[in-house]
Amino acid sequence: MKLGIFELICIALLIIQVLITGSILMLDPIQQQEGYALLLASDFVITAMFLYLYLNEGSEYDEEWLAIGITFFVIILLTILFLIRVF
Amino acid sequence: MPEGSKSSEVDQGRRNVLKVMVFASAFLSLAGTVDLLRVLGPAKFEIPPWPRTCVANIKNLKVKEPLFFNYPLETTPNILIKLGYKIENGVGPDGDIIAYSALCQHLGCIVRFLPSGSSESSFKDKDVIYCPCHAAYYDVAGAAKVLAGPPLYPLPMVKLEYDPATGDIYAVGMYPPVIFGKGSPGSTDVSRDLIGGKLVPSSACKS
Amino acid sequence: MKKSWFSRFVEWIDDRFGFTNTILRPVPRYSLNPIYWLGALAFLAFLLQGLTGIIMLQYYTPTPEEAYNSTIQIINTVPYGRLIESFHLYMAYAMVFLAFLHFVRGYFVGVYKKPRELMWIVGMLMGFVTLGLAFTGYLLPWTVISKSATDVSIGLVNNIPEPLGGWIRYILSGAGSDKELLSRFFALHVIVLPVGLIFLLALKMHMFEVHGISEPLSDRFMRDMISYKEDAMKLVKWFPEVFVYFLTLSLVFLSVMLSISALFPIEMPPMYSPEIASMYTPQPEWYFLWMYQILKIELFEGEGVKVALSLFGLLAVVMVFLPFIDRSNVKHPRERPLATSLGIIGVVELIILTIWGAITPGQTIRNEDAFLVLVVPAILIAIISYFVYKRIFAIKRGEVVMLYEKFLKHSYSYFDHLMYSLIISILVGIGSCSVAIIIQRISTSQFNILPLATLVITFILSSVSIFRLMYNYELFVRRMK
Repeated sequence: MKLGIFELICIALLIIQVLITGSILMLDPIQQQEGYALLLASDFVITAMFLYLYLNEGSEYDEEWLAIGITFFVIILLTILFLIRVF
Repeated sequence: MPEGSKSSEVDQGRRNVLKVMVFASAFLSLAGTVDLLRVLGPAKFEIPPWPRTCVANIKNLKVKEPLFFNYPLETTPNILIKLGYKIENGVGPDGDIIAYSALCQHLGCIVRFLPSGSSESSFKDKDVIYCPCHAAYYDVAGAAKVLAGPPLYPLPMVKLEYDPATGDIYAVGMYPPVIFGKGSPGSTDVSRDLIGGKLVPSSACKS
Repeated sequence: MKKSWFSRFVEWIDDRFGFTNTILRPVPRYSLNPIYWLGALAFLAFLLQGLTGIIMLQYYTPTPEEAYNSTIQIINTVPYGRLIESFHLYMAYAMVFLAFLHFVRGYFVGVYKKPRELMWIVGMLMGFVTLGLAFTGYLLPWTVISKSATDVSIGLVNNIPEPLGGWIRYILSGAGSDKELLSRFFALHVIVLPVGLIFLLALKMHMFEVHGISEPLSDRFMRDMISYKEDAMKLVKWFPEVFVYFLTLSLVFLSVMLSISALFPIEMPPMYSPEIASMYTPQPEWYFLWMYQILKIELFEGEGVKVALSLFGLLAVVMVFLPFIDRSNVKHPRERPLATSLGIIGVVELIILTIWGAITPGQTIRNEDAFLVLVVPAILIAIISYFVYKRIFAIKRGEVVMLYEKFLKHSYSYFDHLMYSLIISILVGIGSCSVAIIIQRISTSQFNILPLATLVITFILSSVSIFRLMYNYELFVRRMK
């Protein structure tokens, strides 16, 4: 399996998703519900991104970078909001 | 698909990587969602303990000048008054410091303190707490019982503790009835005062 | 090797579930665009409402004494209760809003023309059921605002002539006691209307599979046969392509709604009691504000209420039977000046009435103000529309050069297409909830700049996105010449 930058970023995103899913299970379901929702939303965004890439292969690289970039931004945004609101 | 795709071997390898990634990612999302099933589990009714919060120091209190503070939640303001004469339930060296919830028991407006002799008050001989929304009057010296107006229940009293060594005053609890909006009106279940908002942290007074 | 056991596993599943062998017909590639999926998203919202509703059903008690307390209990003590209540609320707003967008799109591109007339009627019925779900659900928490608003609405039913009025009143509120009102609304909300909606949906899906997706608009599109266009018309299998597309769309929609539920948790007004109710101005939810605003006009006070209600009834009848009123074969907005202008006026009036209704709770509207605020924009739009269409028809006759020809830039790509579609999906979710939040905050006089800012940004970004999509669509069409 070729380990180009694209594959590394995919793996990084997957690891982020594992961390997010892991931390979700540790949150208190009453006091930290909103944190759960925001992290789950980030989870969904990552999955949506993977699905989109799967749907759209064969197109040029640039678009994929852009897709990954935008999704990262969204995920970071959601996580920052989580940190501000819930903590 | 637009023309001009990559060669097929790279595509196939990447396609497989993506397939596995997609399934892994979808599985993780699903695992995250499954946690929602906890909603069907027993409601963990964890009531937090009453915080012990510094309110004021007796040196800074002036007679008949009210002080507003939030307790036990950020959204439940209270009014603290040093009356200058001893009353039942008052704390402090003179037994004259008392605090009540500042949310009127009628519809939750924020109340004001009107000392006796105040021109606006209808009860010139008493120190009263007055709610401007519908002209409710509570007797400050008489455990905030209702003197006039639409409320049906007195204002909840804050449980205060006075530290004679330092002069600090702490809020450590609430007496019934329940604070406005926290439960059925007039309910004596004061534990409901602790839920439904952000708890004020316990704090020691900085001398 | 990983590949082979994986493929064998997938084949094993597929042999038994038959995903790749579905009866759902393949769709043309151009329909993988969120604007064709608004109805599907509304249905997804309905399914999620069902799911969260069933969860809340475990804790909710439908009696006037316990309804509010049980709702508060869900919010305060049940794990994820506050999240689920907020999610149910915002998903309700999203469902109504998406259904509305779906309806507006259908209107402007003429989906109700032959052979889809009856699909339109079924769809309108589904819209009424959706509004019914929102209306009945609003009462269930038994708060001051919701019960007062429901009382006002039931009072309006008195204006419907007997025996129909009496029959409707009986269905909604029984003999009139609070207990019967709540239990009937509960039954309607939980069983009757959802089952009705599912039945209508099954019918509409069947008709959709028979007729297929509505054809794309441009005549040139249909006439020319160049490979790029063939590519857009190429049929795409339901599984896995279309399924994955809808899954992506749903995940983005879900994550937006989850974030909104987390960032704006639900705040419950006090429990209903007749004494407290007199202190609060009844205000319906935002999707009914436009009707309420019309009823507040001086002209329709007193006996005029019957006139207003008849007008609403007439409007409903016209919209339901639209396929038989508008019988031309033309679908493109550019070729339907009257329908498009009336549609734009309608949508703009709705928005104006809704916002106006939110900022004037309980006030009677003077006739002069009503005329100024409602009639003047309509006239303005009609005038602008006249000149725009004059130019459009001149362009058609070849007398004038189209403006955007000067702006032809880079080539059309699917990425542009999908990216803007994804952005619009997100913005639809954020925009609908910002509108709802602004209106709720305004009506309870707690103004917070955040929802307004979100709405303004959403509006600008969605205008830009829609604009770019339209540009790209025209470029796409032009590339086939």
